[in-house]
Parts: sequence; structure tokens; C-alpha cells
Amino acid sequence: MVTDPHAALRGLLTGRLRGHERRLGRFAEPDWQRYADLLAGALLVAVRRRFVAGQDRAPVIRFVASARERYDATGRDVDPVLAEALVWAALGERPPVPHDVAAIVARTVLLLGLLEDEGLTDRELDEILVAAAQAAGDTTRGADRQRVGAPVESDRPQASPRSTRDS
Amino acid sequence: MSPDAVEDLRAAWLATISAADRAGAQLHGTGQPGRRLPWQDAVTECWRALSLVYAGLAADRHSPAGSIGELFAGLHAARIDADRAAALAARVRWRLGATEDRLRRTREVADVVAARHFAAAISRLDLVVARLAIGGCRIERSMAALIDQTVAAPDGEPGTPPSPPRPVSHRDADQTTGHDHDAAHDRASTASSVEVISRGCQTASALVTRRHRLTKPRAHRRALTMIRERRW
Repeated sequence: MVTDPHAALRGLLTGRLRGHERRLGRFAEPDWQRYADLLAGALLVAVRRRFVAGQDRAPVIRFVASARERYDATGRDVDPVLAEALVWAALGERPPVPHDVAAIVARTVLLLGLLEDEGLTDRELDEILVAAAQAAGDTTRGADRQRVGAPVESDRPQASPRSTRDS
Repeated sequence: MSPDAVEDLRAAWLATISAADRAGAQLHGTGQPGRRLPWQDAVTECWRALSLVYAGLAADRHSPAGSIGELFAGLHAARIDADRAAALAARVRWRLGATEDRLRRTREVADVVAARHFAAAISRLDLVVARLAIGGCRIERSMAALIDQTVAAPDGEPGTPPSPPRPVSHRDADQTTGHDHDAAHDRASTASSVEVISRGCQTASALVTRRHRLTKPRAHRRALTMIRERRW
């Protein structure tokens, strides 16, 4: 079943910005949390399709620069250090970056940049969103277990990298 | 940013300038006779120079600081180079645009193909200019950080390492305070997290909308050009 946060994120990724903003305007508190989790999950999946853990820094730097060049017209809206930290965190090489305004902006821009570079069909995009929902669910459950003190084996989905062209 | 990194950065800007210069000269037919230097190579050279710039910027984030005076002078020179490179790239872009327009009007197949190549070069030069602007902003930020540092240490002592970047999260910021503050801050951040997410989404949405607006007129312009071609 497609929830409103799911549909809002899909609208953003497919360029239907009016629908995206309309849905954001209808969000209740749990929807915002769910949207942020979905966004983080989608970035996790998209980053792992393009990059692999332990790879060179240069392709990541180049990708972040290209994403900023496309979306950050002022050069001040997306922090490159934070954006790179998000990519490395998605690869499991750095600690996760929590939600704050700059992180949400950087996540959105990076996700759009990654998916735009891949040139996905609607079906592939849906697959990524389903994987993102699973990743977000796993992360939420992991966070809950951490809150009650239970050990967490892995919070990450086993998304195999489809392409290693940037490795 | 160390003096070496500044020098590398400056060398990269200078390479960009010379590449843009050569591209411009080639377009005007004033290049050295007998030497093959197509404008495509010059544009590629611009890209190579820019990758050097980005490598320099990446090194800057981790390199130790040198004397503040030297760094400031180096950054100032790099900023001037960046401005010159951007001006030259804009001029070359204008020439490319004029040439593309002229070729497109001939209605010869070979000329139309060449015009498409020029259009591709224009797109790449636009990206070069955008990257130059981003690099320029980064240099300005480094200079601003140096000025703050100089104000903090007015006795002219050799610079202490630049202040670390701002914390990337509320959680990082919390690590500098006590555990009592942690619990209170966590509660506060939970209460305000929805607002934070909402603000982040609105900012991101504005960036995406701006990009859509910027890219839309090009498609419109291409459509107009096609209509004009049909009319001729």
C-alpha cells in the first residue's frame, strides 16, 4: 500500500513538485518522521547501488560536487563535508548522521543526483522505494531495540551494488 | 589550507585560464598554424584543471594550517584567478553561442552537426562556470574563516589550525556538553524534530524547484529553435 510519505517522496523523485509540496502540506507528525526515514533509506539504497565500501574518495568527492553543481546554485545550501559524510555513512564507513535541516537538504540533493545519474525507469524507481521502505523499517526497529538496550546485529539492508563504475 | 594546497589551487585556476584562452584563440582562428588544438581539447583541459581544483579543496579540508598571512595572500590570488577564469569562460561561451547560431542558419548537414557539438560544448562550459562559482564560494569561506581567526588572535602569532566545521548534527553538538544537558537536549530535539524535518524538506524542495525552473527554459528554447528551423 502506498502511504502519503511514500507518494510524496515518489513525487519529488519523478519531478512532480506541486503534488510533492501538496502532500507535504498535509503531513501530520508521524508522516514527517516516516518521510525522513524513507528519505534516509532511499539514500542508503541508492548510494550502495553506485559506490562500494572501502573505495577511493575521489569518485565520492566528484559526485558530491556534481550534485551541488546541479542543485546548489549559491554554493552555500549544501555542505560538501556533510554530504560526503552522508555517503560514507550509507556505506557503513562513518557513524550515521542524524536528521537536521542541513542533513535533510543534503540527503534530498544527493538522492536526486544519484537517481538522475542512473536514469531509472518508473519500475526501477518503485523497486528502490520499496527497498527504502524496508531499510527505513529495519532502521526504526534497530533504533527501538537500541533504546531498550538490546544488541543490534545489523541495521543495514543487503543491497548489492548494481554498478561499481565509480569504485 | 596549507601553502602547498593554495599553490596547487592557484596552478589549477591558471591552467583553467590558459585552457579557456586557447579555446577562445582557436575559435577566432588565431591559434598557432600547424598545431592541432581543437576547442574540444581546451574544454577537456578546463575539466582536468577543475578536477585538480577539487582535489586541492579536498586536501584543504585535512591539511594543517600555515602562516595566516601567506594563506590569506594565496587565497586572495586564487580568488582573483577564479574571477578571471570565470570571465574568460563566459566570453568563450558567448563566442561558442554565436558560432553555433551562425552554423545552424546555414542548414548544411555538416554545419548542423558541428552546431550540435558547439551546443554540447556550451553545456559543458556552463558546468565549468558553475563549478568555478562553487570553488570561488569555497575560497571566500576559507578567507572568512581566516579573518575570524585573525580577529581572535590579533597579536600576529602563527595561525592555529582553522576552527573545525560546525557540528553536523544536534547529537554531535551534544557531545561537547554534559550528560545532564544531553537528556534535556534530546527531549527538546525530539519535540522539534518534526519542525527540523519540515524545514529541511521545504529548503530541499526550493532547491529542486529552482533547478527545474533553470533547466526548463532551455527545453523551451530548443523547441523554439526547432520551430524556426522548420520555418526556414
